[in-house]
Amino acid sequence: MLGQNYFELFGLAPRFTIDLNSLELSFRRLQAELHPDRHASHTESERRMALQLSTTVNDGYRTLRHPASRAQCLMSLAGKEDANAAVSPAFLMAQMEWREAIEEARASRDATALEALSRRLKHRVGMQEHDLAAALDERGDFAAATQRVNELRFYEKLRAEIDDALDALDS
Amino acid sequence: MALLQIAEPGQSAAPHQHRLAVGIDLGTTHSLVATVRSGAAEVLPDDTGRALLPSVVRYAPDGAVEVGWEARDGAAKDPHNTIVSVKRFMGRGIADIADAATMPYQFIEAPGMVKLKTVAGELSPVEVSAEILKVLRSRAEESLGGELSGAVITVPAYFDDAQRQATKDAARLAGLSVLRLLNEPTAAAIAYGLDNASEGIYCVYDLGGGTFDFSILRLTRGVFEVLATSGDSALGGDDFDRAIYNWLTETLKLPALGPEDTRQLLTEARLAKERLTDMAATEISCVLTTGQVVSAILGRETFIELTKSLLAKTFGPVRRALRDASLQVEEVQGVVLVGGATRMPHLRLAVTEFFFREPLTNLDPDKVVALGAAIQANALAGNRGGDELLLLDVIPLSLGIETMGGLSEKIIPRNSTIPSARAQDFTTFKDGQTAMSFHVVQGERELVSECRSLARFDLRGIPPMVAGAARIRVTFQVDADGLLSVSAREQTTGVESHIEVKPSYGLSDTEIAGMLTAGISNAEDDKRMRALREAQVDARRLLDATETAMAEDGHELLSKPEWDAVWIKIYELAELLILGDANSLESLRQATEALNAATGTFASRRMDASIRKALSGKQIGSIEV
Repeated sequence: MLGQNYFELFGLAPRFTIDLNSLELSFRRLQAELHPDRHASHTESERRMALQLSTTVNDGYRTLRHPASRAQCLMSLAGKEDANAAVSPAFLMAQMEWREAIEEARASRDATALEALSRRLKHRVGMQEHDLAAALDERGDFAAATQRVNELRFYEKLRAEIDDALDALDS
Repeated sequence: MALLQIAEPGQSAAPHQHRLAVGIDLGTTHSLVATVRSGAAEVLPDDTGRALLPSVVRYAPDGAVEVGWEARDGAAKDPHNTIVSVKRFMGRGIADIADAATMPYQFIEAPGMVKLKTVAGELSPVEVSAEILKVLRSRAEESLGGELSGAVITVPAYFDDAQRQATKDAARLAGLSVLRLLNEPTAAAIAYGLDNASEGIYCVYDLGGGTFDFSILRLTRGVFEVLATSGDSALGGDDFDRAIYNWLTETLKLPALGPEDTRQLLTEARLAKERLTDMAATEISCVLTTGQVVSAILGRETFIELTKSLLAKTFGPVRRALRDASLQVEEVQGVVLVGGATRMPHLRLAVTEFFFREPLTNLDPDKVVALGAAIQANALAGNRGGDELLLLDVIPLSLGIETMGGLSEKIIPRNSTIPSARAQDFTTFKDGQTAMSFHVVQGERELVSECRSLARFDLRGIPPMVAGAARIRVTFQVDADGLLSVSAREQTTGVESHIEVKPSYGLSDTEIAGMLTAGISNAEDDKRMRALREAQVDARRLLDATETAMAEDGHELLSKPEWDAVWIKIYELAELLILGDANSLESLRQATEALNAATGTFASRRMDASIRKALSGKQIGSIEV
C-alpha cells in the first residue's frame, strides 16, 4: 500500500541532503494515522494492516535518518547499488589506528579516552557525510559514494565498539 | 446476560459509547488499577479507600486465596504459602533468581519458568500474578458498574520477551482482555506529559520494588517517542531492604534465620527504610520466634553507606541510555521519578547531582504508572479524548539468532522503534543439508550462552543443494506489545516455518487451558463455558468495531451493495449473540469469521484513506507545527 520509495513516503526529494526536521514531522504524521494503537478498537484485518504499515514507516524512518542507509537507499533507487569501490590504503591505515586506540583505551579502562575517541569519531563522521553529499547530490559520482558509504559503515561499527566498551565500564 | 442493543444501520450508537477500560500497574510490591472518568485519570480504591493493593498472595490450607493487605499481614506467620514479590519470578528460571536460597519459598525447576510449592500445589508465577489481577479486575468492575472491555497492563521497560509473555498470560488467566502491554516509564511519562503539556527531552528514572528502568523520551504535542531505554531487571527497592537486613544480621551476629524470622526482619528493614525518608535515625526492634530480641539504631548516614553501591549501580544504565540516544545530560529538560523507592532523600540528591536539575516529583510516584496506563487504555478503547495521544516505544534488548561458534547475530538491535520487522539471510553449512535449526536469543552479549534463550525451531524440507547455495530468509517481527514472532523461508522453493516465540519461556496454550480449569470438578463444562464467553467477547468487540467504522466512513468508502453485504453479516452475528445459546459456540465463531471476512475490503479502504490523510499533509491538531 505504501510503495517502496521511502523518500516519496516521507515527502522528501530523493537527495542525500535532507531536512531532518521535516523527516521527523512526516514520521509522526504517518504514525499518527497508521500506528496499531490508532486501530486497536477496530477489526482484526484493519489491525493487521496497521501493524504492517506502521512497521514499514518505522523501517523507512530508520533508513532515512541514518546517513549510510540513506545513501544506500538513494543508490538503489538509481540502480547503482552494486558500484564496486576499492578500499584505499590510506583508509586501511586509518582503520588500524582507530582500532588500536580503542583497544588501548578499553584495556586500560580509560573512560575519558574512550569519550574523547567518541567525539573525534563524531567529527570524522560529519566530514564523511559532507563528502557523501557532494558525491551524491552534486557530482552523481556513485563509485565515490559507494566508497564513502563503506567507510561510514566502518565508522558506525567503531562507534558501536566504543559504546560497548563504555557500557562494559558501567556495568 | 445483558441484551445487546443494535442500532438501525447508519444510526449506530456505538461511536460515542464509552467503553470501560482500565490501566493496571502490576508491581513487585504493590499493584493498582486506574481509569479515565469524565476526562481525568483516577486510581480506583478498594471499599475501604485504599488505592494500593500489596502484591502478596497467600494460599490458605482450607483452599482460600487471600490477596493484598490481609495476605501481607500474615506473611511472617506463613512464609511458605505467602508469595511476596512474585513479579521477580515471572518468566524466570531458578538460575535467574540471584537470592533464591535466602527466600522462604520451595522453588521447583520447571521448563522455562520456576514453580512454587505451596499448600495449594505447585503454582506458576503466572497463576499467582493472575490472583492479583483478578482482585483488581473485580474492584474495577464493581466500581465502574460493568464488564471491562479491556486493560492496559504495565511491565518494566527492561522486561524481556519471556517476562512480557508471562505477564500477558497472567492477564488472560484473570479473564482480562489485554489492549496493550505498556512500559512503566512510558506510562509515567504519559501521566506527566498530559498533565504538564511538556515538550522536549524527558527522562524517567523508575526504581520499583524489584526492577530498575530508565527511559529517555522526546515529547512533541501528544507524541511520546521513546529514544532509548535501559535498566536492570534484578535491581529494586527490595535490595535496599535486604542491605539493611544484612547489616542487622552481621552487626548483631544473628544466627541463621528461619523463613518466618527472615520475612519479619525484612519487613522491619523496609519500615526502617521508609522512616529514614523523614528521620535522621530510626530504631529497629522486634522479637524473633526463638525469643531473641533484635534491637538496633540505624542512622541515615549508615544507611547511605550501606546502599551506596546499589545506588551507583543505577547510573550505569542511565549513561548507557544517554549514549544510545546520542544525548548529553545538558539536553535533558526534566527527570521524572517513579516508584516508591525514589522517595529516599539520598537517591533524589544523587539524581539531582547527575542531571544538574531537581527531579519532577509532583505526581505520587506510586500512582503515576497506573494513571498513565489508564490514559493509554482509554485511548486504545477508542474513547473520546484519546485521539491526541500517540506512543512510539522501543524494544529494550537486542533480538538475535545463534550462528556458528555460539555467537549471536543481532537481527533487531535494542532501542528499535516498534512495531519492527527485520530480515536476515542465512545459508546451509553442508552439501545436501535439508534442515536448519534456529535458536532465537535476546540480549547484548556476543556469546549466545550469555544471552537469554527465547525459542528454538526447525526449518525442514530444504531441497538438497551444495553448501551455501540455499537462501534462507529469517524474519523477526516485533509487535506493539514488544512481543516477537519469527519466520524462516527458503527463498528459492518457498518452504516456510513460523513460530510465535513462546514455548521455551512462556506457557503453552494447553497449560493455560489447564490452569483455567484447574480445581473445578466439571472441568469440561467449564472449559466450554469459558470458550463461549471468550467467543462472545470477541463477537461483541468485532460488532462494536464494525459499527463504529461503518458510521464513521462506511457511506464514503462503500458502494450500496457492499454496504448492505456488511450489514447482513452484522445482523447475523448480532442475532446469534442476542440468543446467547450455550450450544452456539461454533456458529458464533463462524459468524464472527464471516463478518471479519466481509469487512476485509472495507478495512483496506479505511487504511488507504488513513495513508492518504497522512500523506496529504492534512495534519491533525495534535501534531501541527
